[in-house]
Amino acid sequence: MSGEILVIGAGPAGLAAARTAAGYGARVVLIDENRQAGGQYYRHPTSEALRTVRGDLFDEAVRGADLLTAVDDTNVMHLSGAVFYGFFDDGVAAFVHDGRLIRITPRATVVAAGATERPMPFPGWTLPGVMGAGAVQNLLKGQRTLPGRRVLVTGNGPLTLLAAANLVRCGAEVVEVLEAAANRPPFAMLPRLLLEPEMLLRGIGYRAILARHRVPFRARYTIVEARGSNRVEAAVVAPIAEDGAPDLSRARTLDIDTVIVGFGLVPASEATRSMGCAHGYEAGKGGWIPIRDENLETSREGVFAAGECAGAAGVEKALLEGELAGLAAAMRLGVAAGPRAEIHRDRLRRRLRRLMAFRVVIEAIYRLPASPLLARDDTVICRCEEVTLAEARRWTAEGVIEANSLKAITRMSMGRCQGRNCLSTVAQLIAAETGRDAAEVPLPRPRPPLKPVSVGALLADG
Amino acid sequence: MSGVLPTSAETVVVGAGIIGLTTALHLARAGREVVVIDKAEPWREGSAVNAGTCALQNKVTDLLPAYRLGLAEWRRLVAEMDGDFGFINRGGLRVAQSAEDVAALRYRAAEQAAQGVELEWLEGNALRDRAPWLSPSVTAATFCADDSFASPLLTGQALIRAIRSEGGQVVVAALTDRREKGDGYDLLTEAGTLSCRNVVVAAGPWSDRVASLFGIHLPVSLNVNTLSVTERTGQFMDNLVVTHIAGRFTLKQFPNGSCILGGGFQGRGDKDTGRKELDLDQLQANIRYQCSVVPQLQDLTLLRSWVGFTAIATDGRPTVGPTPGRPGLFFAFSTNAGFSIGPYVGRIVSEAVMGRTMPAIAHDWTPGRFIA
Repeated sequence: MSGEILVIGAGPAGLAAARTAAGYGARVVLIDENRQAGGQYYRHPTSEALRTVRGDLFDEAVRGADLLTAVDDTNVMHLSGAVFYGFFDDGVAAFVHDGRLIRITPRATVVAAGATERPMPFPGWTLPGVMGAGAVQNLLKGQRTLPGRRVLVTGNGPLTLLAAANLVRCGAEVVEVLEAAANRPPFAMLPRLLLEPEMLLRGIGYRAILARHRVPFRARYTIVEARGSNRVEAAVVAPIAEDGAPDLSRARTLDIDTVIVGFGLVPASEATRSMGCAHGYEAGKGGWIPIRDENLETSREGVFAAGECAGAAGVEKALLEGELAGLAAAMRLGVAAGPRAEIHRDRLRRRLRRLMAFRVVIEAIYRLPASPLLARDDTVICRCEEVTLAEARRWTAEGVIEANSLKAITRMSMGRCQGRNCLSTVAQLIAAETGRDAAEVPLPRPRPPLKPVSVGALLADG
Repeated sequence: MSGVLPTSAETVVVGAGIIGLTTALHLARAGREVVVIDKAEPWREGSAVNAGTCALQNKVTDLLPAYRLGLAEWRRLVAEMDGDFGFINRGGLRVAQSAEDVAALRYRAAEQAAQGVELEWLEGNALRDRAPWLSPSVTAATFCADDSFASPLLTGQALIRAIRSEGGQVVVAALTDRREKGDGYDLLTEAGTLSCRNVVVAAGPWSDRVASLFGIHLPVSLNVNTLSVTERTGQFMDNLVVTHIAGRFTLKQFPNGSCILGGGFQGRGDKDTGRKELDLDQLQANIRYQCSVVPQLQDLTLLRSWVGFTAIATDGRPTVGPTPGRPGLFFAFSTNAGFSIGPYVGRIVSEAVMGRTMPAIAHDWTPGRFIA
């Protein structure tokens, strides 16, 4: 298979990268594990439905329709249902498509792998009826289905507010919306909000929807427990005290049938970490992200990273970064060159700088002094291997202070989710128990396959 | 997992793998003062990431007596220590596929029987009944009741706990240099200086690097073994260890249900930088070979593949014992299959440290064979 640029992920960043690079004449192989392009953001029942929709409930679906035409470009080979397997020596990238292992040697790679929901274990978090804020967005957009009738939305960050507003617009009864942060922009930063008036208005709009439907929005508040026998039937919520822990003396019980939990996103850095790219820890962007130059190239030559996998900061950043990475990859190949490409590149960089200046305020609004530890001793923190908080703490108390070792001893993160549902909790726990910063707790290096595949897929070469 | 480096100890063991830790355990149990130092977190390299095979019938004939002692030592360890090693002894099958394989298996079985290894020859219906999950392409197998495996994940923790409970220490301290001092050594580490009477170098593939600090050249090369693990599935292989007469094959299903596919297909690595990379061709060859023996593997989900280092001495023998002309300096590293033989190597080197002579079996394992 030939392709000069490999783009991993067909969400907003990957689509923008593919479209831009292809527009300059580069040949692009765009792989994505989903059936349809669009990633988690542009979810829609079918492409046809989306393309005929006008004035959809979800404005992003309409905006996405335009970008989705990227996959029709003759320079783009879009492979859906393709799972990225790994990057090997000599620049070989492998992925599994149609049950076969396919290798290509791209001249440039754009990693646009997106993000996963931050796991937030609390008593009852594994009950049916407890669902992520990203997951409920997919349910609403992709299936046009409500998760339940009486919904509690709890978490930290703009996605939680967005999920709450969309649930209300779709007709769910949202009982309360809880935001763990103080939710106030620092005074000195207020002018920066005007850098992106459109986004500011959108945020205000979400709050207005909640207000119009008389949905209480409580800052410095969180769920502490979900209760129920076979599914969630009630939630215990409490305000967060000065020390960052929930004040259980003021806990209340809510009668609900669904809990939407959104404590932000964790950048999907597995691909870039497995490639050996240098990473840095940025709490405001979700954790470990690849270190990039101003062309979004990582420390590994020819490997670019764009979008949520390089810092969870919303779709506008993903689109701009995808465009810039696609352009920079095309410039690396020499198909994009000269004043036109340079002007394009400089415009994108300027636009990104302004956006990130705005995002600093958003990060400040939602910053938590410390991520709350809501799990109790008997709460399972690794769902694949069923490891409880007490079991993990038993080992940190014995001096196990590296995620890699804790993983080996307890089997945490060795199951099917490959750590996506627990590693951030493990790192947070180790940091808390050893008095270190999360940035001082390196994560184990991911090994191929970067998502589970069938053993049989390795038998046949494509 | 680490403690604070003391300033002196009677014996310092360099390397916290299977050999280093069992050496320290025996010394500590005998009431000797012992500190294990490692360049990074203990139990992180070959011993921790290998396939856990403690089999007998897949070993080279020359070293069979030694591996029998290794297995006996494993049983003793598991019986005497109250830690969980995940040790499973349900026997193993060594399989043959081609006509040449069958001939080779017959020859090796006779050779091993002559050494007193009890084997059961299986073919036809007897083989199908015993292991219906083997491919029809497997035409014969020998069953060896001694073949076993242990959990590399659990063993290190069990040993470290046992050493500490006996008063020994395990500390992260990268060795940078040494000075000779009276009747012992000052070991200079990144965590401070440690005076000792005896040094046991049990650093696996890095043993040559440690030896060079003592002005000794040891020929140690590196194997970079490929392993893969599947998602958990229902038990279907009766906890047997499967090996292959043609070599480069180990397969077993752990009690949690995941299968470990090993055998020694080679990746790439550099012991000085610590870089470890899979080789995709080798990985695929490994997986194809495994699926040709146990076809239902191909329906399982592959979760992870990785590579781990083992030391290889030029003559294929372990290197164990005191160093001629260098009082207080001992070596203890294996050559391949270190997990199987490790506890035995740990025992005899600990006894040598305590002044006993090396057993006859180890006479050609001496580090002296490399010193001109």
